[in-house]
Amino acid sequence: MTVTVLAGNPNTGKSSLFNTLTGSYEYVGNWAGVTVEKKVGTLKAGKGSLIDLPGLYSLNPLSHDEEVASRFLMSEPFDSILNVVDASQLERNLNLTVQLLEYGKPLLLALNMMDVAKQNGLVIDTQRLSELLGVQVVPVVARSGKGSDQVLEAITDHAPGTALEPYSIWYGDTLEKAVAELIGQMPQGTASPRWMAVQFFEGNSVVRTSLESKMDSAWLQRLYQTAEEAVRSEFGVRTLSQYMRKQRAEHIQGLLAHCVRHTKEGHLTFSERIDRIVTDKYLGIPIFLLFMYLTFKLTFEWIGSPLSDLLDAFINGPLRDGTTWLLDSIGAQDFIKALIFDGIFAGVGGVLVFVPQIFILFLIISFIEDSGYMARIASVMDRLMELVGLNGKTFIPMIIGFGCNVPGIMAARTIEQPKERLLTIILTPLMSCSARLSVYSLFVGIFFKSNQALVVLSLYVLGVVLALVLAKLFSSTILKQQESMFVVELPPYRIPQWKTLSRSTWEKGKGFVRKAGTFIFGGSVLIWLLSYMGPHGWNVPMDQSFLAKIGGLIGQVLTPLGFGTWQAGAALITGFLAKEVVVSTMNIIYAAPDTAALQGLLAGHFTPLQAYSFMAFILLYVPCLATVGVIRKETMSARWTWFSVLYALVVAYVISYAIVLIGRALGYH
Amino acid sequence: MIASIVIGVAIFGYAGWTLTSYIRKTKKGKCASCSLAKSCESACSDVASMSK
Amino acid sequence: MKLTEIELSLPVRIVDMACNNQLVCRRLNDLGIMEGTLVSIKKRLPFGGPITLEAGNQWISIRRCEALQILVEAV
Repeated sequence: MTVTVLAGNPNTGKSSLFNTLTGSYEYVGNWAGVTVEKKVGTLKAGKGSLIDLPGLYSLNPLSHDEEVASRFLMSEPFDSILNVVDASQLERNLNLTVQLLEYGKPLLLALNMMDVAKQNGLVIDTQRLSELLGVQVVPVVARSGKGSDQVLEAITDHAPGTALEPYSIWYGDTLEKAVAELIGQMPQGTASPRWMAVQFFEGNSVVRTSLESKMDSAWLQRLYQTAEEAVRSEFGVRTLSQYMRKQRAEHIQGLLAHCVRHTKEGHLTFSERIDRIVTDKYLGIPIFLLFMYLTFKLTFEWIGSPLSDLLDAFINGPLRDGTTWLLDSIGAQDFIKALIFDGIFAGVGGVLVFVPQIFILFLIISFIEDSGYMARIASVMDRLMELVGLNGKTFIPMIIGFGCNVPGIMAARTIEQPKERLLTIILTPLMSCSARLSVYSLFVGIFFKSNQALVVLSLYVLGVVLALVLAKLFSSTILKQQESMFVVELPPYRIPQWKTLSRSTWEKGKGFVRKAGTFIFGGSVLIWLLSYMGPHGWNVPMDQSFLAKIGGLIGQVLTPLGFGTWQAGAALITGFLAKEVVVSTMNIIYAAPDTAALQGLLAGHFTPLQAYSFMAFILLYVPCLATVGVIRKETMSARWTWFSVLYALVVAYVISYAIVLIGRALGYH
Repeated sequence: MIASIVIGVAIFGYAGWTLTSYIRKTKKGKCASCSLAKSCESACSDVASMSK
Repeated sequence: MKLTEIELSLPVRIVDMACNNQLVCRRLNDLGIMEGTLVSIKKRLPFGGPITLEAGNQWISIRRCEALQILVEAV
């Protein structure tokens, strides 16, 4: 069984190729940093396994996702590397290729985006390139799957054998002397000694640590400084790493002169024309907000809600009737009927009806991801984010967080600055995820019928604004910045393929549906049971049940916020497990036969102002259990995990209270 | 009566299983229930163990 | 002259990259932007926001303060 590993620059289509080669479906998109962890797949025809890694520009990592990739390449066992290269950015991509070749592992080069290169007027002689580098080169178009059969064949049938001699570049007499000196001092049996030495001088922290564990670190430090001094005075460069990067670039330019021809001036007019509008000086941010507004219009008023109503009618019409008939015919007990209708139908059905809305939202998020707009939003937002101590790139995890906070928090790995990354991790839960959307759907349908989209948009904006304010607060108190950084690639726009869009929407939405069938189901049964039992026995009136007792405790604390009922309290406790459960709980507690009836009942228990305050509280109060889990994993700190839970509770309380006070002052109640 | 017991046991059994498995999974902090669930099943990269 | 001072879409050559922020410089090097590279400015965002560079058909957005430290010459 062979293990092949995919490596290449960010946004070169590694995951697309991974999907075609393994027949699986991983997350793809059009910005640098889509993949942030390693993923293992089985090659078609079962001829080995393929590992997808996050993109990296060089083996010397800068951000956490790059570190995942470069550590893997340096320390884990694998047989060969499938290096994916963006043909339209050949020069920059080959910088990594050359480092991988120096490393000496067997390598196959997949030349992706040949179509884009052709459009830009580049003619690449793959045969010649293959001879110059001494490796096999296969042209592919990963998006359409063209050439993937040849790649599959190349990595399985003619697996590149062990490279006889690692590729070697001459870095100039001065540096070569230092390299030779270092190799001479290395302990016997060091793997890839020349590569280790070259990476050491380039400033690779992982290699340096590895060398320091075996050799005298003071000596290493002296050697490095002497070499840097010598190179500095001889060539007038600022740092050793810059010098080496330049040497390599010259070498690569030399290679490309033999195998690449420019036939015409490249044109980027399509991207340029779109960019003129969407990243316009003044219209950039308004266009983004308008885009979000249209998103909610689509989700709530134009498409999502009508579909939800249809689904609701089906679940509570034919499905309920059929189940009733079935249960009657087998003579089921009343207890079982109550369990199924008041528990499962109310709880699971109540959440499932929002599936259409959630899918529309995911479709739009997938569109942003695949079109190339994502990186532009980062650039448009940078100035604002800089003011609060973050950078524009931190906006990407936040947008992903609109779908689900968990992948949003993982996406923060691409942020280079550790403190900015931490800040992004603890603030991303303030982004209104799709689970919370189902709660809003329920409430805006009752209390804000005429302007649903606007009210929901206001909650999303509330989340973002609070994240910005808190970022400012935290970055100027507990998380003082050393230096912020912002460099982002703006990939060319692409018209998303319908196939990709529908698949990535489904992949995102699938989790929601699956959760309804598993966790929400279990939660609904448990909640129903708690509402059915009380201290005084079974089948008690609802307000005598355990659920009412527990909810009542929390309810008291919530009285100032306008929704101090045991029902709200119970919904909030269960909502910590997953925010959709709030909807399930409400359905069960109010024992409504369908969504319309529940809305009627809720209208009697909440005023519009209380409903808004309640929605804001749901948005902010604590990240859900899954999110807390991922915060713990990504920060590797219990302290920050607790912090993110507690600050959210405080903020939720303060904001909901403020909403009630302001609302009352304005004459609402 | 027998049908009721069978249905009751099935529902409570399944519910109990989903709850415990969900809590166990999220507690580990490995895989969440959202869009990453699938990739988690194929191989969850554990950063903590990778950066040893 | 400084990179921020050039006209839109006019290609210039980088002669010096002073790096107050090493991380930014490393990343720019990774992207193939170093002394000797031909670049042009495609867009400036308002209120001191980032500028968009074009180099070898790739577009990169960087902050104005970092662009200020990049010295260029006409070609």
